[in-house]
Amino acid sequence: MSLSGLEQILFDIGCSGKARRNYAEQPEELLSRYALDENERRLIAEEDVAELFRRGLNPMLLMGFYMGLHGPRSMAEYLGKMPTLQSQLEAVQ
Amino acid sequence: MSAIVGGFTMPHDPLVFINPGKKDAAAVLDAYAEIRRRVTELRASSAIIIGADHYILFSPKCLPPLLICLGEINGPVDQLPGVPNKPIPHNPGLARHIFEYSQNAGFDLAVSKGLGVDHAIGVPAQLCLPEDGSVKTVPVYMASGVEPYIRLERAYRFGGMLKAAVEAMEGDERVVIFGSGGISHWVGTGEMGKIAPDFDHFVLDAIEAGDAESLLTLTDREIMLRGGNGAMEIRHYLAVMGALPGALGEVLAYHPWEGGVTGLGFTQIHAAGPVAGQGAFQPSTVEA
Repeated sequence: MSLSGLEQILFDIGCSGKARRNYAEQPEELLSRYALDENERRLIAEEDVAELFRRGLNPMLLMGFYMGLHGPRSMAEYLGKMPTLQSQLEAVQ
Repeated sequence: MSAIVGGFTMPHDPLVFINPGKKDAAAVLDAYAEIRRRVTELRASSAIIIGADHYILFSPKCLPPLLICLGEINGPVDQLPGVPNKPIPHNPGLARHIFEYSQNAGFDLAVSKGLGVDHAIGVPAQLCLPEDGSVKTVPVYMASGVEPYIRLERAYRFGGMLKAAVEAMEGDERVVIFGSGGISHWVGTGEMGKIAPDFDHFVLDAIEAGDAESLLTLTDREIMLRGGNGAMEIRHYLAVMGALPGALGEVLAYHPWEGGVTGLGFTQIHAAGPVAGQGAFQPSTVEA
């Protein structure tokens, strides 16, 4: 798993308006700039924040990514997809 | 002689300002104003504000354990109603002195020469310092929001280094030190919105008693289970406690506010006055 590549694209989409616009217009082109395997590109394309969290991605990063794509009113929708921190900690015990 | 004349801890929950549920935030805002009043009363000239990046400023390409800004600052860069992004008066002389002192005191700080700060620094700078700009800010970012986290003992020792650095500065700087952060909060996880008053009171009791040891003996896993990933910010409180070893605290306000996502605790750690019976806790296992 290329954790650094996943973290970087999530950070860029969450924090950069330019990256968000590029992703909205040509998602495959933006995805190709990062060292991601096919499965990881799918996780990003499907916005599978739950699985990304299970794989160790920072939840602040995931929240910024999701709300960057869908706006601040998407918070409830985002949280509805997310596992709890407790479940994550227990899973890696 | 320059000195640290007081310590304060306060939250920076953005929802206090965004307030989507239109809840009454007056008591929370009053607590910020009370800190401002006390900073004025202490005749402070500078404030060292310790906060965490929330994966807004520093990208995965570079994640500093500790960073000090030597130059101009503005913020908060995130849009918060009532807390506009604007220049924050800063103290480059004190910042440079701390940086140089730290190099001979076991800390190698990352440096920014100019920074747009986020709400962790911007909220206390704008709400807890006099509006006339008479108290100049030195911002410090500590790795409390993004893994790899700075160790708790290291955060405490860093506070001790700040104390020594300030006391070694020529002149008559009167410095307050702020630990900016919520107590219990879960950021971006399925629990987000939950507040854990038991954990909040545990932390506030430790601050009141000048009891750093109770916090230093927590593991990161315990902190996350009891207080959430946001509670890793108690590192900032420990830095303040390290700068005022053994000093007793005072809880100014505590609000498990229904409009937010954080246990909102406001404290002052008194530089003058009695200290805890056993004096400062000395971590025994890690050298600076």
